[in-house]
Amino acid sequence: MSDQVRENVTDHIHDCVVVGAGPAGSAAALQMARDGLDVVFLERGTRPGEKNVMSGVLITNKLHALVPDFCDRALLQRRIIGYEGYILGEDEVLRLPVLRRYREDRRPPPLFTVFRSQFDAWFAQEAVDAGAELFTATLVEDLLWEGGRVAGVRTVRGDLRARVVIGADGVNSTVAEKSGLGAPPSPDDVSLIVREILDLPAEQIEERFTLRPDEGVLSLFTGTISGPSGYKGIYYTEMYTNLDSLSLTAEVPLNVLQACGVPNYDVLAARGRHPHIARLIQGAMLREYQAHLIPWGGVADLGCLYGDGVLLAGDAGRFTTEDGVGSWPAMASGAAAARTVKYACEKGDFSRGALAIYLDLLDEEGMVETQREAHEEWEERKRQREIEIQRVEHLPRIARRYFEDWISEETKEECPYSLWGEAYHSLVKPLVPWYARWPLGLAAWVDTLRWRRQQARRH
Amino acid sequence: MEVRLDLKLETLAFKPDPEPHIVIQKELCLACEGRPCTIVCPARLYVWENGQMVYNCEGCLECGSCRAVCTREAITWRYPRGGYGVRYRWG
Repeated sequence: MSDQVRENVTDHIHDCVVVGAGPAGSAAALQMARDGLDVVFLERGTRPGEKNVMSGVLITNKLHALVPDFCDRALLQRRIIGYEGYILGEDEVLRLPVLRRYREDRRPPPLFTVFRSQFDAWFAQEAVDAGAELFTATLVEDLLWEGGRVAGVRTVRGDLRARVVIGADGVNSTVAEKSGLGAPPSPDDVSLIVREILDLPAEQIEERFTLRPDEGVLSLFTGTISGPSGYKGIYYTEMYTNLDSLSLTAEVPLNVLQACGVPNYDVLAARGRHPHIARLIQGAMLREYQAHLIPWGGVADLGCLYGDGVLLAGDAGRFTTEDGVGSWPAMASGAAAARTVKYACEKGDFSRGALAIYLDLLDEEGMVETQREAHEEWEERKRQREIEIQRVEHLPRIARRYFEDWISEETKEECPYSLWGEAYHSLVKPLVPWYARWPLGLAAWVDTLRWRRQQARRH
Repeated sequence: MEVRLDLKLETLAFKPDPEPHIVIQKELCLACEGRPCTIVCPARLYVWENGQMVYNCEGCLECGSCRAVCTREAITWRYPRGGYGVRYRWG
């Protein structure tokens, strides 16, 4: 690993310069080095992973395809065996789907919690060992142009010339902006994630989450926030178990934070005070506080992924899944970009037309379909924001009505409907048009009247 | 036990870039409504004080939220130079 760009480097033309040594950049560099191409990849931190934050779980399907024995070599935290969903009310919590797989079977490739500072450094080293050259502490400031096409990158330490430049430089991508393929992130399409790493001894983690050593769970908490402006929005809080620490995150779309007027560190602090989460993190000490922007909604326009002498991969191209997962689409797009460069080198043509094969290679990785789904899901979520808020607020009430029917006298004001009435009002009414829902509405109303009479008799 | 934001930020390692990587045109902030950068910045680097914008890019977490929400294009934002800025040890 060298950290100095050589003096005489300017006249040498590399097959490819990859900007960024995260999952997309390292996957691309690894693949090209294996294909025997002359590849350089650049990292602005003093080591790969130093600038990166993700919510904390790595889905290893693409990693498995690139490095089949990664389990034995990469620095991983815990293998995820459990997925838990919660809806957080003010002082209550509704546990929704809970899945635990206690099987030892490792197919399909499992999920692991990782620290990106460790994982990215290892993954970049894999590419270096395969023959790629890594320059760390090297920020790309601009692109080099030659006859209307991208011909390399400009760094503080000198220029690097290349037949193709792959922009894998994250959500605030210099390559995307300077090449004109992408714009800076818009508050409508990114979430701000703030994260705390909380120290907790391994034995306590295993006791609190009923785990064995090396096993981990991920918990997703959903709730609503509202601010001084009265605007309401959804937040997601995730908790992951690492070896001897917990990751606690708060993720809120930037436009929601802006409209609510609430800073995200306040959202996170309020979650840490919630009685359920407070019990899980009790006694844990803060190790590190972090923040990062997470793109949502996938690639909106596939035509903006390639230009003359340039390709975009990972967050720089806005690759995500419909669940907002970015790490494995990053690896998939990085690998597809690498194969695109190999194809272009064979043909000796680096124009936009020749690089358009990127789309076919992305399609082979299943990425075109994934991006379409991610985009549709995101548009749908924007349209259904109010329905989602209603659902999040009503589901705990339905649960309360189901489990605590007998204390209804004191909660009557809060919950004026019977179980079926509550379900109708929160689940059916927002989703079904009136002409299709009226028989259900009638049934719910009759049930509520019957229930109210029964309650009146009981008291 | 709750930790204040300034103490949370003390858990981080920085190598400050002597050349500021964020430059703002403060006069554009005067007419800005809501000043969203003061809300979204996860390190609270932007503070509206005595009728003007006070900011400090030394504790920047390099997320880019401020640039994304700025409606006046008052913020000139780039990454700190290579090797400078925040260093996440547990990212």
